[in-house]
Amino acid sequence: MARPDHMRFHAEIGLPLEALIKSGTAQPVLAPRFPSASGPISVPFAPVAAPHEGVEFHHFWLRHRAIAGDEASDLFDLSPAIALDHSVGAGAPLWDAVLKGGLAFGLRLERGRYAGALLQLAQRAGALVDAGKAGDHAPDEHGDLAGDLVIECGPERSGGGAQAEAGAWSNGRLTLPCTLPCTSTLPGAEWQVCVNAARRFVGLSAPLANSANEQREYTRLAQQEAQRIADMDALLQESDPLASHTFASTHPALARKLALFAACGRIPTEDFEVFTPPEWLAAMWGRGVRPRRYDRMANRMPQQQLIEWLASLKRQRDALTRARETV
Amino acid sequence: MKDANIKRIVIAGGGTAGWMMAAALSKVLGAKGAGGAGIEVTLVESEAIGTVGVGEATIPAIMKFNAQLGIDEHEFMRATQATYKLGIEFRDWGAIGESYFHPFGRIGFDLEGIDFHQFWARLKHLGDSNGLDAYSLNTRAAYASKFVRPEPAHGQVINQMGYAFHFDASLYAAFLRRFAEGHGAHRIEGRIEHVEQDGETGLVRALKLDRDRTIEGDLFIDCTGFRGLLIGQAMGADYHDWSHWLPCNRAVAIACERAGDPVPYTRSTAREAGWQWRIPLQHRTGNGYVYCDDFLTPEKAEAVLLDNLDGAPVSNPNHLRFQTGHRAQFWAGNCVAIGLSSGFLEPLESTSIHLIQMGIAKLIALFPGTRDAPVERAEYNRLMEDDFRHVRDFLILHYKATSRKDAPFWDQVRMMEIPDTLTQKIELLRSRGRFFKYDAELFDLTSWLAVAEGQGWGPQGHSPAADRLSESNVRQSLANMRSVYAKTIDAMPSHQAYLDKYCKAAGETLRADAA
Ligand SMILES: Cc1cc2nc3c(=O)[nH]c(=O)nc-3n(C[C@H](O)[C@H](O)[C@H](O)COP(=O)(O)OP(=O)(O)OC[C@H]3O[C@@H](n4cnc5c(N)ncnc54)[C@H](O)[C@@H]3O)c2cc1C
Repeated sequence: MARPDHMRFHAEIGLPLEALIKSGTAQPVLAPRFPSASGPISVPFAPVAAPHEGVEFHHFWLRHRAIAGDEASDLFDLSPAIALDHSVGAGAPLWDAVLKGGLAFGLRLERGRYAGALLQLAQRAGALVDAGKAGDHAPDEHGDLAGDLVIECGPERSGGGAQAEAGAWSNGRLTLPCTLPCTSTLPGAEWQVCVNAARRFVGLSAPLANSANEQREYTRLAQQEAQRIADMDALLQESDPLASHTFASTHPALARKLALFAACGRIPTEDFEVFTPPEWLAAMWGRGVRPRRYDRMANRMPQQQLIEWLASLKRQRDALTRARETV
Repeated sequence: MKDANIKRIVIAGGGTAGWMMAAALSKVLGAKGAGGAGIEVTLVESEAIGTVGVGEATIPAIMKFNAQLGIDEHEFMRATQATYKLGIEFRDWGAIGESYFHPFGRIGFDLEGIDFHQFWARLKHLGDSNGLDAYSLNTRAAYASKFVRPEPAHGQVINQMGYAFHFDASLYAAFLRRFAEGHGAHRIEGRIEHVEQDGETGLVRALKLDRDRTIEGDLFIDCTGFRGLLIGQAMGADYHDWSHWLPCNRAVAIACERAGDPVPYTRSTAREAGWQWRIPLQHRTGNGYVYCDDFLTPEKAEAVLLDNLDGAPVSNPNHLRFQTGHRAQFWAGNCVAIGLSSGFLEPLESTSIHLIQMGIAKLIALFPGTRDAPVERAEYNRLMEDDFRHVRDFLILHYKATSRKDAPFWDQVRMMEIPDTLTQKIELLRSRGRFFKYDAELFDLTSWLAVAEGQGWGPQGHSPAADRLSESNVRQSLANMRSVYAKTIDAMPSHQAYLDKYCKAAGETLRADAA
């Protein structure tokens, strides 16, 4: 699966979305299911509703629930992305509904065809592709591939010679962070880190004999990104994240996120995040973490306006659900 | 859900920090605000003590603050004798006799998704003599003394411009005072004599004023300037000293008559033991010499400043002492320090008012539900420290990247050890113009590049990606850009004409109370 940011990458390399849709290679995904210790959680890319005057929607929702006394309702009941997404029921949502809806979406891509399309693009841009045969680049007696720079893309590492740590660039070897274990369990993470690595490498490319600074920077950025992914993985896998005594030392940024969200409903972001605040919100919410209070700025909206806003969101959600059911 | 119990906010101090805070809080949380979140905002200040009297140059982020308050820009400019600021001219920083411009806004246009400066660096190493200035609309407009406010309808060239303001600090505080009082904030004139704390929790309960008055509150904002009456003296928050990296610790400021039409930029001239600022306003020019007293006496600094004014002085010299650094805790207990009480980074890039703005925005975002809010407090402190650290590193670059060997002060800063993170950043930029911005970082590639290049530490190579276009193609594209910028500048009104048309302050009175 490819996250919404992947579309930017496609634009950069000249792979239009229309072509992927037409060839049947891509299906839209609005709310992938993340595995967790308490069962799968729908994590929509789009927020449930837009912020109002800088205040995130969930604060208004919490205020509304306090007014309505409706303890049974759930914030994500109102998510248009979940209502549209196939993962809740009747097959993939229709492309026209998704494109019209204006919500952030990712792509479920048919691997073989997608790889074929990328291969064609690479060849057209001058890449030499020699499937199966390493040719001049055959591994030496240590199993090392020949070349000025070897980029390791899969979990199976070649050779017995100098190896780069997952996600690092050193000694003429660059290992894509998709070899990190948790990237394969979190939908979209694997491809996202590959795209980020490609961008970062292009941004830092330098003559190989003279690139120590660039290598250090590349590795530093990749490692920070890997930590953010590991944070999400830990949040999902820990049996009771709020009660974790180890997060403060093993995942300090996650510990901060949980503490602040529980205290006042804010989601602090770190440098080099992979997941967006709406995704963190959905993941924390799905793991049962709730704010003890909402932002008092949400009180600035007149009560009647708040009630009408929530009612209109509910109507929109119902319309989307009905549309899905008739497909 | 526990009901929020902060009902009364007390702001101690009525300088720029205090009144910015009062304006923002009364607008978004005050009793008269939309929906009436109903918080009472009280500000205590002492006219007898007065304000620091400096702080007149800003950066473009201030626009966001004004927009959030709903301030009309032209009205604000008229009220504060303001001029526009397109950047800062640095003289004698890299070497005596050299100068460069640090512009706001963008430099050049990217080509095929590759950063503009990579192409510029490629041509530079092929011998092309066009500097970054040739591709900055801000720099060209500044030196031509032109200005127009970018509007969406102006198209992408003019919208590359960024701007900020120079204003009279005391008029700015007065302007914000009217705004805050109009939104329900109360002002109390008086001297704070004692800070009353809860014996058990240490939280501040009240301010004791002269004439036996007591002002109680739930949340206290310390805007008492360098004194730090609440955060330092009462709450005991330590100070992290950064003067080993930024050794200037004194300043002398003075206002003088304006000489000719005000130019739309600040000037910073490096001197023997620090640097001198010149800030042109509509009615006068603000000047000051920031220096390190290990290398220069206050008397000598004052004499150098007086020798280097554009016009006759219109105020008395204002001598100030400071220590670069910040409080270990910006927010301690139920007291949040904003402005000079929270820390100070010398005014080389006009960042202090911005840091006030950052403090206000973060406090509103993390506004506590109860008097003691340890989680919100910890996050606030972490974020503010990040902000200070990022600005600090950019300031250090100005001192480190110099080849001046004419005075002991410059020897010291040229040879000082700098933070590792900054070394890595500078090396990346110097080798091939690479730059990765942290989320909270204020200054972007344009700023780092302009200063590094201006002081002789610019990129020595370029990204191989910039070789993707043929040399002739790159030369042509960059020549086109220069010609577009030149035509755009030709069509702009002069800065003075723009001020006259939209922002002319009433009366030409010279104010002598601020430099
Ligand atoms: C040399 C220099 C140049 C600068 N240049 C710039 C610049 O160009 N751009 C920029 O952004 N920033 C600049 N700054 C910083 C800027 O001046 C400050 O950030 C800004 O003025 C805010 O100051 P303040 O309100 O925190 O403190 P102050 O202006 O000192 O205000 C303190 C307030 O607290 C009150 N007070 C103190 N004690 C008591 C008491 N006991 N009882 C009652 N009231 C009390 C005072 O009366 C006053 O109202 C500069 C600073 C210096 C030192």
